[in-house]
Amino acid sequence: MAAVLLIALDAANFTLALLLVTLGLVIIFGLMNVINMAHGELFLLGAYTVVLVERRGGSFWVALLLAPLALAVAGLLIEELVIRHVYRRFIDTILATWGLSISLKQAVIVVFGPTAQQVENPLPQTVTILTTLYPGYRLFIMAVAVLLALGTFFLFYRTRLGLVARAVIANRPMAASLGLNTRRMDRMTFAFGAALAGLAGAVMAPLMSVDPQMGVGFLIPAFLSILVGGTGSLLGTVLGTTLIASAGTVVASVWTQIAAQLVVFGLAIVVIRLFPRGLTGGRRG
Amino acid sequence: MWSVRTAARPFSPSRRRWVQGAAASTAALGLGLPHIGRAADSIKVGVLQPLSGGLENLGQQGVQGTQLAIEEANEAGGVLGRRLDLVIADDKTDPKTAVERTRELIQRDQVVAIFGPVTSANRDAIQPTIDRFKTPLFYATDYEGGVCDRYIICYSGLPDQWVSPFVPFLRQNYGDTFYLFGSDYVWPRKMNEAVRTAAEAAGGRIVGEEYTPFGVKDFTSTVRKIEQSGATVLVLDVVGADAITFVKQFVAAGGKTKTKLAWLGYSENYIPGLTRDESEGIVTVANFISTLQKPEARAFVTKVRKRFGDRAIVSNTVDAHYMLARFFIEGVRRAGAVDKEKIIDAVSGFSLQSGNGMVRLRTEDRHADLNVVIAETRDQKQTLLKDLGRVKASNQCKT
Repeated sequence: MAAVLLIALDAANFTLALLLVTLGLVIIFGLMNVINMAHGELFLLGAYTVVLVERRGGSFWVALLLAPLALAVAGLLIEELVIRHVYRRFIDTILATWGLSISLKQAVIVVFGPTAQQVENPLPQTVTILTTLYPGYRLFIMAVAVLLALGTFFLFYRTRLGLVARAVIANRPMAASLGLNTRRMDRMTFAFGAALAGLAGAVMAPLMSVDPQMGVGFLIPAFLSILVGGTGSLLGTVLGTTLIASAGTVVASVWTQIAAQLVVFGLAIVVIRLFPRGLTGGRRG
Repeated sequence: MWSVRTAARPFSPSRRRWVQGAAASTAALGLGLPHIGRAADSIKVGVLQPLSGGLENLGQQGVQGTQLAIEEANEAGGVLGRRLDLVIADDKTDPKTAVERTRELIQRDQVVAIFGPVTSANRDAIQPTIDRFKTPLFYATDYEGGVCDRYIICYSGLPDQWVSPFVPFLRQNYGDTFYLFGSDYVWPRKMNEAVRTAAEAAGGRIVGEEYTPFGVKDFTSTVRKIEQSGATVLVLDVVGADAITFVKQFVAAGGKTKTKLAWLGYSENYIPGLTRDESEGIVTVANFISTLQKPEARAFVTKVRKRFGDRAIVSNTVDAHYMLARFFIEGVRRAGAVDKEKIIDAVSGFSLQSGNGMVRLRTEDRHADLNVVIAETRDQKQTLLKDLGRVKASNQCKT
């Protein structure tokens, strides 16, 4: 019994970590319909904000606050310089953001070098849960993910600002003719997505290798979660990440990591075949 | 193929050689233009390293080691009266690119030898090209063993060289139950095969063996399995960033309090990516560590830092590439001619002073008999635990 509960705990843990990374992406990809290939690099910049702050003698917690702010500014710049020119050109978006991702990654290599950087674990203590030692910092990540998911949900579905943002996303000309400033909403939505990516990078930094390639690893399961869960809905994202992360963790626990990848990708293919618009998008036809 | 290639190039290699020859003889006769003659007459040496694509820090160190040896030779007047010139190519950590760059180095740049690459995948990919153009490849990265090719010369820690002395040491000092965890490709699988044999011979037991695909970011389930297996020693042969991610998560879960972390392929390169707590107590086996208290090691570290700056990482990789380049230079000298076949014949069968003792390059399989040390990381520095001296690997042409 304890073993099953532990696997469930591990699955919940990875699900929430993945949710944390996917939140920013679902806003930019799911809601704004921009395939942002540079999302992994926004995550990367968030993690390197922590490196920079710690090098200057600042604490991890300061960096955690600074990272989303810095990335919101970066998001505004990226939106203004790149994204706004390609909103209606779906394929060009991929190319433009891919180029951006390469430039950002190389810039990090030029400034920090290709080697991995050190980030202190701010909560190195372990907590005894059931029969095992559980890393305290993982519990912190879980809490942050839950709070952020609730916060994002509240912002988009329970505030006037969220209503306006969704109106712009749903029907831009109509929203504009009703007197809503669509440019301002685009800018703010993209900056918010970028800030979430930066925060995710900063939060995950103590538990993964902080190097110029770190952005890619989470990007694939994050995209997969959105496709499986259904674009354009936060609930779908929660569903998608739960399915992708839990399937992976459970299979890896009882079998191997290699089998886990096979099962996860296989599962994604089956779900997308049966529900082309994702689990929350309804069945085919 | 030959005629096509010549026809496609109006300025054919043979004509270029004639021009070079004329320039050289003009210089020799003392009719002026000596430096042009010298430059045209230089020996071209190719370097094929990953300078982008994920393994750039190893690639950079490989270039540094080779460069240092070549510069020293040039300062001492060159080889056979000729300068050595490096032609550096980036394989982008990708096998297909590696093959393209290899062809360019050989056909366009006319190099007499190539130093690199890092991964076994890239080495295997370029092997047919190397053999076809009969251009020696000097490979200075630790690998799984078994390469037996006239045109490939290796300065590499091999499974039996590292594992056979290391595992009994682990068994004796840290316990008798082993968990093996590696990246899912040929090197970790061959290493673990050797670990299993050595552990069972030493009276140890393997309680788990697992491989991970590249790029996994969550190792919770593996950490849990290792804990539940009750292993006293974890033999880690995961490589690169994945290894750092794993160790961070393993340490955060308190793994190091119960299990000794024995990491194969660990070097100074990993230390900056880990905190003091994370790297403390990691035990490894290597041919060279930068903190070795031997005069030759200290001299080497000083030399590298003087050339590449105080923050340069002086790893196994730098030492191995520096050494292999020196074997090459000495080989050219002994061959007495810049002839690929003669260089291959002359490059082995003698010893040179490395950063850790004298090292001999064997003639029978063109691999090196290396000196091996066991080291533990304490306070972010590798500390010598045991100097094993020279360890001979089995003949790689007889496996």
